[in-house]
Amino acid sequence: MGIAEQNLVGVAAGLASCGKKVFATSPACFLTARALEQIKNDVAYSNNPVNVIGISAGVSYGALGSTHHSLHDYAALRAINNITVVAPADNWETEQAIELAAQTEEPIYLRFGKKPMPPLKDSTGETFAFGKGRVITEGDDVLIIACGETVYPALEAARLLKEENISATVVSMHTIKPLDTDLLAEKAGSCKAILTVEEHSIYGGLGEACASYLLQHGISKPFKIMGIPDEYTVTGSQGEILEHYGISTSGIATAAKELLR
Amino acid sequence: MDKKDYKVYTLLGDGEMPEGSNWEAALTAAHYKLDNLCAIVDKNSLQITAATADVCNTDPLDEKWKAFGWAVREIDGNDVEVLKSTLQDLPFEAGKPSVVIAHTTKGKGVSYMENVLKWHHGVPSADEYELAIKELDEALLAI
Repeated sequence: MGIAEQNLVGVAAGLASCGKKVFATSPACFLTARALEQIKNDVAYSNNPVNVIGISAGVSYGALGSTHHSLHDYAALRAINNITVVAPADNWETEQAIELAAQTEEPIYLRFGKKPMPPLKDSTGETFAFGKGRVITEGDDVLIIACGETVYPALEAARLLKEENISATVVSMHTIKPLDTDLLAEKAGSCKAILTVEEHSIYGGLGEACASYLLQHGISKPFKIMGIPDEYTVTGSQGEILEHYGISTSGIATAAKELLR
Repeated sequence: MDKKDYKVYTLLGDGEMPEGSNWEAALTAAHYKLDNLCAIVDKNSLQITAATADVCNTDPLDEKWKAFGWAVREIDGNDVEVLKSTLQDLPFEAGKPSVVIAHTTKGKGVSYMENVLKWHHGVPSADEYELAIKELDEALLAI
């Protein structure tokens, strides 16, 4: 298709309307910005079951800068009716999400990073479903809800916190929309503080989705959204950028301790 | 709009020629007779995944630009002197935006990089880097 995201999504929607199974893949930054109208109208509104695949999302492209970062995609797509928004966190989730997307006859956005990610846990016997969060580890003190590549540092932070006798529940909330509100309410009810972590703007993503649900359902706990703030994003490698904004093992652990204080 | 006397240059890659917004801009520039605008298309015929002609063929590129109301020149884009003299001729036609289709060789001047797809975004090793700099320095001295 070439460098032509709007055309890509339009053609994908047309193929899907003719019964083809379509995966439309492009860097997330271009796909969900330039082709947003085609995603909204040709895919979501027209209910064409296209699998919109955004690769190298968040700040994966690091030093290439803001043009190549996608920190808006959850926000933009959450506000569009009839599209599922998914960000897998490890190989198992990725494989499951792709297989499930191939079998699902509805508009789906899958957001992938670029870096190889270690497995979060032994997935033997686990089942994967869109809209069902995955509990990676359980604890009573702090609930850490993350998605995509931020789940692993969240899990590492939980290990670090354990050394200081702070126990954490870590949830891989791979489906940002529809949000697993049952799991959110259950885990939020039994912890002392809630931290959300995402490789996305702090506006309109996983954190605000969780906050919105909790506040409207009378669940109030110390709460913090970790993500990329509303500023010109610093330049560097993905790791350096995330570290700068505290989206790292130590940064997440520190934020959790501050919330519990 | 302000009738100011300056030129505006925009550099494009042939790989991005399938992008619709380029052609929207091309239409508008011709409509408003922006003859102080010059686009240069770096046409090395390779993009990140394959040859540009195999990904989405945009040839004949000159005729497309002409049809959009632009004055077109095709040159050897690796010949800096030709590029300089071409740009001194702007605008190529009064009342029309100008486009230079610069036929180039990706990786020009570095023996192992020339026309090799990998070097669209490859990162040279330390040894490869040394060799590249040596070859470019030698070429510079020979000028």
